This record gives sequence, structure tokens and C-alpha cells, in this order.
Amino acid sequence: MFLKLSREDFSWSRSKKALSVFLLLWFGGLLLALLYLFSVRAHLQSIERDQTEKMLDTYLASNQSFHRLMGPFQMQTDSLLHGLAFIRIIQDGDQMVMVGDQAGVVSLKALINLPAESAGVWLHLENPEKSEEQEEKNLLTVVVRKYDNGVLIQAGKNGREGYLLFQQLIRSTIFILICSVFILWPLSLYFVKHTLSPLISTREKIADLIQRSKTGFLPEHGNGPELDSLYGQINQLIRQNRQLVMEMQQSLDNVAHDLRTPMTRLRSVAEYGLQAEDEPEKLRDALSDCLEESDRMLAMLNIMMSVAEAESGTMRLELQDCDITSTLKQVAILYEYVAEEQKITVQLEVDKPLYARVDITRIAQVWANLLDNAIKYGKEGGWVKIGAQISGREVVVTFTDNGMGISENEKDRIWERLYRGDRSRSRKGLGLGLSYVHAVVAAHKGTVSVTSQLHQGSRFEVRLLSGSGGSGGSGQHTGKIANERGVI
Amino acid sequence: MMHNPGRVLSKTSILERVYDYAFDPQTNVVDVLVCRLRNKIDKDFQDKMIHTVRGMGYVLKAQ
Repeated sequence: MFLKLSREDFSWSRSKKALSVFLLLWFGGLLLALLYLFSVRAHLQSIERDQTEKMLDTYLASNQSFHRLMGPFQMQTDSLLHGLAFIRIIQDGDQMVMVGDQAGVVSLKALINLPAESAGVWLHLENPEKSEEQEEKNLLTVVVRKYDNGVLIQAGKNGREGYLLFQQLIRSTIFILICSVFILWPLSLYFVKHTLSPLISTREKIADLIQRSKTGFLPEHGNGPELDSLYGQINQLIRQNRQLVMEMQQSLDNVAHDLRTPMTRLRSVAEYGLQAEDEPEKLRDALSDCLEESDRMLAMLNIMMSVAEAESGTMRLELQDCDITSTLKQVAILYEYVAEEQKITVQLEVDKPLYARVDITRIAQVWANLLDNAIKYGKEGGWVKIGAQISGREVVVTFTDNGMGISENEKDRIWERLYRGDRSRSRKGLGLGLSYVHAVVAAHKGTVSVTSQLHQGSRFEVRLLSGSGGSGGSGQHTGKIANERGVI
Repeated sequence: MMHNPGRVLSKTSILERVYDYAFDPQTNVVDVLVCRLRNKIDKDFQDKMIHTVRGMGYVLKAQ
């Protein structure tokens, strides 16, 4: 494998990611090495044991007289032990020890004290007289044979060589494990780099996109299924964003356009006033016109700001539980005379109090806007019905009229800022009422919808989350109105 | 207006005082209201009491 790592691949964050991979690999290697060592050890030990057994067999076979042990015993001092370090014969507490030519290796004292039945590979003979350095030499592979007549033969072989071999193996394994760090670390870094490569390529593509233009998109095919869907979603976001920017530009254009007209009027009125130097009456007129015009513009800007505030979710709502019925009543009273002028009857079809958690001023303004529209675009002798009821967990308020209605292709646009239907241009208004209604209701987490039949009438429906109810205050409001109406 | 004779009151402030609404309904609510009031107070008299101040509002004063 060709490992190509840049400086970035050795950075701290990458190293942190690579650490887990590295540890996993390394511990895996460690586990394998341990398994390997254990099996080698077991194998070596079985070889040692077999060898000792074989040596004892050869010894016993070559020395036929030994069998007479069972009868009269004969010393065989001159015979070699065939490579065995010692032979120990035990019978009823008596023992005889024969030590081979490696006498320096085995201490007699230790042998005599050796438990009769102990056998094993690489046994340490405890020898208090010897120093620690020499202790390593006293490694014996011991086998035991028992005979029916109570004779026990214990034979030992010097196991130092095998033991040293095993020690060597352990050392080299440790060395390899340490060396493997230097291979595994770059390997895990490379692995991390490989895992991150889709991210890196995405980053490069996005950087390219940022540099390039306002029209480019990420490629949605040929990057593998995960990246394709991710790029698809990013493209969706980009599209939405561009749409939003376009809409903002458009509405800015609209605002600029709508502000230019009253500004121009304002200017010409002021000009007119300046020309009429000696006529205080004309001056007064001009000033009044200026005032009216600027009031209009101010009102428009205020509502536009409110709409923007509500739409962006930064509008501060002073929420409180209040009676929707009483606010509807107030608005109906407010528009009583206006409706009368248009010869429109306003019918309030609500009887019991309905509570919802709303900002009372804003919601009253919503009602006022809806009722204002219903009256403004109603026909002479018509009617407006205001209804409210509970539906599930919502309070549903409806404004129904039999006025001019809204045509199908206008229906989607009525909520837009500054949009005015063709037939509504003749009437006074800014084209902001319904967008204000929409924004405020949405800020209350409610919905507003319209059903309409051209020339038959419209029905606006506002749904608000119903409140817990109880906290009054609305009664006070009505009382205040009743009191102050007498003042005018 | 009776509480403030001679002072010009804007439409918004009338609306606020009378209906407890602090907003501009962008309509002729107040105009219609004042019109009704005129019919009641000034109709049968030579000297009008309620005057319109253009661009500002209404005022109650004896001529």
C-alpha cells in the first residue's frame, strides 16, 4: 500500500481520531502475540516432557539390571544417565538419588527435599544456599513413574535450553510489538484520512461553489449514494436560500416603489407651499398635506416592521389568557358606525366566553383588520358574520361576508406584503392588512385560512391554541369602554 | 374632547381614549364617529363646535 500523508494528516484532531483505530489494531496484535506465546510455550513444554520420558525409557532399557531393583538391588554408578540430570528412586521413605555429569547444575540438597510426586516442566529447585544469579540454571524438567510395588522413579532433565529459547521468543515478541507502533500509527492515520476523504472532497467542492457564482450547484450524481443524497439536500438548501434572497430583493423593490409615490407627493406639496409665500391659507394647506402624507408613510412603515418582526420570530408578544369573545365584541363595537355607513350589518354570533393565550392588542388588531376588510369590500346592504367556537384544542374564529370575494388566482397572493387585488386598488389601504394578520397569527402558532367564491363572499378562519381560561380582565375592558364612550 | 376644550386631538389619541386601542386601524372609524357626533351636536346650530384640523385631528371650541 502506498502511504502518502500530508502535514494535515498529522494534525492533532486527526491524531485524536486515529488513536482509537491505532489502539484497536495494536491491542489486536497484542492479543494475537499473547495467544501465540502461550501456544508456543505449551508446545515447548510438551516436547521437553516427551524428551525426558524418552531418555528415561532409554536408560531403563539399556540397563537391564535395573529391573532387578524389584529384587536385589545393584548399583550402577558407572553407567551414564543418558543425558538425564538425575534419577531418584523412592521406596517407603527410602530414596536413592543418582546425579548425572551435570552435577554443578543440580544441587543434591534441593533434590532430596523435592516433593516425591512433583513433576513438571521448567521446575525451579529451591536452593537457599545459591545466589539468585545461579537460580536460573536450576531449571529441570521432571517426570514421575509409579510402580505397583510402591517404587517411585523420578527423573529430571536440564530444561534450561528450552527455557532460554522461550525467553528469547518473549523478548523478540515484545520488540516486534514496540516496532509495530511505528507501522500501525501511520497506518491508522491513513485509515482516518481515507474515512474522511468524502468530507474533504465535499469541503473542496463547497469552497469551489462559494468562489464560483450565485448559480452553481453541487454535483448530485456519481459520488456514492450517501454523498449524493447529502449533496441533494445541500442543493435544496441553496435553492431555498436563493429563493429567499430573491423574495427579499423583490419585496425591497416593492417597498421602495411604494414609498417613492408618497415621497414624491410630499415633495411636490412642499414645493407648492414654498411658492405660495404670501398666502397663509395655502401654506397651512400644504403643511397639512405634508402631515397627512408623512402619517401615512409612517403607518405603512410601522406595519411593515411589525410584519417583518412577526415573520422573523422576533416579535415580543405579551401573552396572557384572555377572552376572545370580549375582544371580538370590542372590535364589533368599534366598527359599528363604519358598517352602518356602508349599510352593512355586523352580526356577532358568539355567546359564551372563549379563552386563548394571546397578546390582546395584536389579536384585537387582527380582528380589526379582518372586519375592516369585510366591511370595506362588502356590498351595500350586505352582512358580516363573526363566529367563534372551540374545536378540539383550538379556538376557531370566523369572519364571513357576502361581499365581492376573492378570485382563484388572487387567493394565494393576498397574504403577500403590499399586494393589492386589482379590484381593491380603488379603496383606501396599504395592502399590508392581511400580511399583518398572517404574520401575527403565525407568531401565535395559529393558522389563518380563507375560502372564497368570487362575487359571493369570503370566509376567513383563524385558529388559535385555546388557553386554560379563568383569568379575566376582559370585563374590566368592557366597563372602561362603557364609561368613556360617554366622554366624546 | 370635553375634557380638553381648545386642544387638538389626533385620531389615534381619540381612538385610544375611547376604545382602549393603541393602534391605527387605517380606516375612517374616527371620521365616521366624529361625523355622527357633529350630527348630534352641531347640526341645528349656526356656530359649529367641532372643528377639523387638517392633518392633525379634531378640536372642540366655541367659535
